[in-house]
Amino acid sequence: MENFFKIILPQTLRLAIPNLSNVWQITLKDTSLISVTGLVEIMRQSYIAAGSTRDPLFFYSFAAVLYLLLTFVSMKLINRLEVKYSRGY
Amino acid sequence: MDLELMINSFPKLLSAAVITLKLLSVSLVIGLFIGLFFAILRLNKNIFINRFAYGYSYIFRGTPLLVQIFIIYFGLGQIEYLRSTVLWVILKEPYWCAIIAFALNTGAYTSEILRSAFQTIKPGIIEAGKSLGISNKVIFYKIQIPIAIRQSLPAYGNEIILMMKGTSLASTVTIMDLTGVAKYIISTTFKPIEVFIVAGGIYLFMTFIIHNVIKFLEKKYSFN
Repeated sequence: MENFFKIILPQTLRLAIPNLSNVWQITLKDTSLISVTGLVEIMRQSYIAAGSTRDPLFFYSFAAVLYLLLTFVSMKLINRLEVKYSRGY
Repeated sequence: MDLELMINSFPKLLSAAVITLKLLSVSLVIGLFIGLFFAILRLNKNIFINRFAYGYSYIFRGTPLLVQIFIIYFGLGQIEYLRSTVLWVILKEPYWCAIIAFALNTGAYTSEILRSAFQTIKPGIIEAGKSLGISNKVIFYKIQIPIAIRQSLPAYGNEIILMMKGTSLASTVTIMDLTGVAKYIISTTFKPIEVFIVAGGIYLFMTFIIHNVIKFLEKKYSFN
């Protein structure tokens, strides 16, 4: 048990983080699809706002900026993790 | 389970799948050229050109495809000036809006794929070409591009499959593609499970074909 958590897992994590980060980014962007089912997230909210104010360009661009911000921040955090797990290599 | 409905909706969905394939192929062809163009810009030494190409791929890879389609279809129509130009002929059609969004999106991913492929080409190969007295242009077109295409085949195959699934978003801008027709049938029959199983089956089949074609190409153009 200790062998797995202290030795095997840290080493696999180091190799898995870049790919996991890809999956994270893709899933993050796919959350926009939830708006189709009616859950009010970024996309749904901007859809409602664009509909009521008749200003779709602004609200969808704002949604795009929010997504960019999310991917940017998560990328920075994951990079930090990558550095942490590749210590000593 | 309503088997009759499944059988009846199959031909309708199949003809809608043709539109899905059309959307996919047109946007992939345009996207490939955009991707190649930006991949070459990324290799440029000039920092501004480099940054511009990076910014393009960052924005289109960092935002969801759905947002991009909505901005192009709903957003651009809002600009009064654009309505009076020739561009409006294209932009008022949901079909072309979807294709523009897909092409720009896949172009960004393709540029990233091609860039990494260009960078993995061994310098020895280019040096060999130079020492044979081949001009830089010919080296680029006859040596670097073919090797880069072969190198990027597996990743590009993934991109094609992702894009094919992405075309289902075209149904959000009133295009009657596979998903659009499936939604339409559901709105009249209220049986989503049956119809989506058939539609999903068709998507799965298309993925299967694309996957095998790419695998075949990979084998055909393998290095040994």
